[in-house]
Amino acid sequence: MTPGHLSVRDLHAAYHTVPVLKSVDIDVPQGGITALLGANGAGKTTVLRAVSKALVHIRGRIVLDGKRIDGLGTDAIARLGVAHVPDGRGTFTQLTVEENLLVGAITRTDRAGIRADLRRMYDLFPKLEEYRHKMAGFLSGGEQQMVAIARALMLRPRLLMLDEPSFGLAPMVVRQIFGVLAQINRDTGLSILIVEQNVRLALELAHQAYVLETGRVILGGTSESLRADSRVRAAYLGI
Amino acid sequence: MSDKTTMRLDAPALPSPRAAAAFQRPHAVAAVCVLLALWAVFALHGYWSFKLASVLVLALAVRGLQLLIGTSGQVSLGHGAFFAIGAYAAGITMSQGWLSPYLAIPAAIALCSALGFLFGLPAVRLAGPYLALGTFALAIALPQLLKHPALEDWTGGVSGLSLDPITAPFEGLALHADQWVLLITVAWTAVVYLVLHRLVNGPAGLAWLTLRDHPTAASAVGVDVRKWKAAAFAVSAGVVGAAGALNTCLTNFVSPDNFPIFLSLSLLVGVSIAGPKSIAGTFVAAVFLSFTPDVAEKLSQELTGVLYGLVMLVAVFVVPMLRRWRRRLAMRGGAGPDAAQSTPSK
Amino acid sequence: MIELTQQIAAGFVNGCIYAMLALALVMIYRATNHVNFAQGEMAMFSTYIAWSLMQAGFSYWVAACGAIAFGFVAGALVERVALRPLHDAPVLAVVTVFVALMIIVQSAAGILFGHESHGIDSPFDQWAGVGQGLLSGHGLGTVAVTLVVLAAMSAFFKFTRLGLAMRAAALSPLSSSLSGVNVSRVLLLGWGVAGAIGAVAGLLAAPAVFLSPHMMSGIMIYGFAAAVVGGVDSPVGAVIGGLLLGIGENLLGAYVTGNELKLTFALIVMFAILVVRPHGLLGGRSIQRV
Repeated sequence: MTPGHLSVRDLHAAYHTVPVLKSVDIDVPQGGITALLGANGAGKTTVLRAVSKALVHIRGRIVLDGKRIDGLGTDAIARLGVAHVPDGRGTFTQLTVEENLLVGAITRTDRAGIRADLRRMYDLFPKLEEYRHKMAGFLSGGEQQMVAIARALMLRPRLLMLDEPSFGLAPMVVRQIFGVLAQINRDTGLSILIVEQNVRLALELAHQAYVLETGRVILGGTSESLRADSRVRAAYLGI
Repeated sequence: MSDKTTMRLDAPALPSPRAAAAFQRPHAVAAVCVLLALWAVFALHGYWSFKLASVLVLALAVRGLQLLIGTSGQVSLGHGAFFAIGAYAAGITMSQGWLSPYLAIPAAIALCSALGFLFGLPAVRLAGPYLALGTFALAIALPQLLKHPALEDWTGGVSGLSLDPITAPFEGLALHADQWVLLITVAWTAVVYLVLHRLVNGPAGLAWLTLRDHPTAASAVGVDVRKWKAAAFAVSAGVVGAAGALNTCLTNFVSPDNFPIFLSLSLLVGVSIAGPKSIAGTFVAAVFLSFTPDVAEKLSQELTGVLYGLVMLVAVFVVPMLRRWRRRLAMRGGAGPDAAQSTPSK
Repeated sequence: MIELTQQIAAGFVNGCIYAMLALALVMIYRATNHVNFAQGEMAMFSTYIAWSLMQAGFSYWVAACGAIAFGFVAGALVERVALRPLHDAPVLAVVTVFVALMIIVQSAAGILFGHESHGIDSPFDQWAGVGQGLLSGHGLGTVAVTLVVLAAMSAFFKFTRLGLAMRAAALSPLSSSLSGVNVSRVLLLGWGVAGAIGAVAGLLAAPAVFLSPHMMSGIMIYGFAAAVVGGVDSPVGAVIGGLLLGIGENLLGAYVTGNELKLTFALIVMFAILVVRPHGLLGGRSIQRV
């Protein structure tokens, strides 16, 4: 499925009658990792939800590999190859780890391919193989995050979107997960859009980033340029 | 389901100045209602006296169930059983001569509360549909139990108990029996509603709210979930028991067939119409419940069921729509300039 | 001794009917996390459709297929029209809708088909005499059908993609959509299948208890009890629950309490199980994180 170029233009988003995003423009280049940064309530999560058309009303142009997706429903967008790991992870706590992964592949019909991908997931996250028949709700936060990411990857997506994957996790676990993400991006060219509070880590992983504030993009650029930017340094890196 | 609580953002409730003023109103409204009711006691008699008293009884019963559902989030399909227990408690104590009618009602309340607590304790472990099922079972089992030959001496078995009507204790008030009963009903309704009002607006109400919305979090901050859920059951059962006891005083008759599962379902319909907290709603619901069967039966014997069901569906689908419109109107009235540029297209 | 085996056998057959109803309930619970209080009435209505077809001259099997198809469509329709708008609503609203349906369907059946009871011949009567006559032909047929449906349902949920999709959709519609599951289509199917299973339950019950608008009122509570005892999300549990209840109530009724309190004891058992093991004998435990 590889390509994975996402283009968001003039995106407005609202929950019921409360407007949250105003005219947001974002690009995720094919094979690139893009980070969305900003304080709480800036609207980062809403951007992801807008792309997935989950829980939010939108207006604007969202194009994936040349095809407009802003008019489609959540499941149709997922079937086109957009895998969204939501905040809170959305793990099926009452299903086993393996069943969680199989749900990720539920729209696929290639049995052999699914089995091969399961194997790949267990190689990437050995802990999951250990717990494959355990109910996912019993796993720790870090392990559930791995389940969520693996489930998303089972879709064989063009674009992987993650909402605060580091939230509530120990630093070592976070490093492990980010390492896996970087590896996947290098090996398969999967495009990644990641929302992160941890700016340092995000800028290490991503090639480029946008900074949002109260629903608008106020800064955008490569990771190096943002790291050097004085506003970013002051506000988020504490320098 | 977990994803609903983590991902849904509710629109913030903007209190308008009108809402603040409304806080003072309920007391005035309530006082006016009580005065009106007292006037009705003297002004009405016969059928209308009876009808008004029935409406009050139903309102009480609905309020009892509403308390359980609205404040503590537990749905019961079997409150008809507590109605029946209250009714029989009053009936038995009066027919056996153990208590005067004036003590029979509090006795019924006490009994139902105790039973409600005992039922509520184990029922705490049941969530949503399971609890509904358990209470459904209670409502179905009770009439059978009441008909059992072993208890016939007290319950009157299948044919039930007939009682002497309650008459006014002293001549001076010049009230007929039915007016006197209406007065008793009005008095008890007012008292119970007042007590519930204090309860719900106090620490108990707060505890119930927390365990309705986030039971796990509630227990984490020290709210004894079991105890409070059972307490909600107890209070709710007591109120419904009061309604049952008053009903006995009103009709001078109790029999097992008066309390079919339909009664429990009607109470549920009542709460659907009334909403989770509206006091006025309970009276609206009571009027519905009291008059709809009469109207339906006049139109068509057969159609009673269909009409009832349709009313329930209307209550479920239409009433929330109305409430949403009302809220949107309130928000537009009280909100700031930002409200104007909302509502994007989907 | 013979009487004991007869009681058990009869209880077994009753238990199968409870089990079928419980299976329909489990189907809906697994698909939507709701308890369908109107299940019995819908089953009854489907059975009336079969009866009408037979009155019109069609053979039993054609009529039965018609009833099952009707059950499927009716179930799907209920989901689409009555439940879809309520997907976010509180438990009270949903329970009310089910209860409303229960009342409406029963009244409608009375209006459309009259209130008299009708007998229906069972297609299994020819099996009478098999197995030393312990069970009637219809009894045997009931057991056979129940086992087949149970096997099919278990296999469906455990081994098929659609079954997994259904379970996922019930547990978390949002996460399922994010994985590409068309939740609304899955729900529709789940309800359709539940309606079909309910129709089968009605068809099995009718030769035994006679078809009338109140046919299912008495039985439905046992269906609920069976589902609860077995675990509202477990097909195997539903069947075990049904059998336990069927046999248990017969034995209790014959040897302990007499017929008046049969139902009461059944309900006490159900309540006890609800309290001691809220998820039934075989239901899954739910994990709640704050």
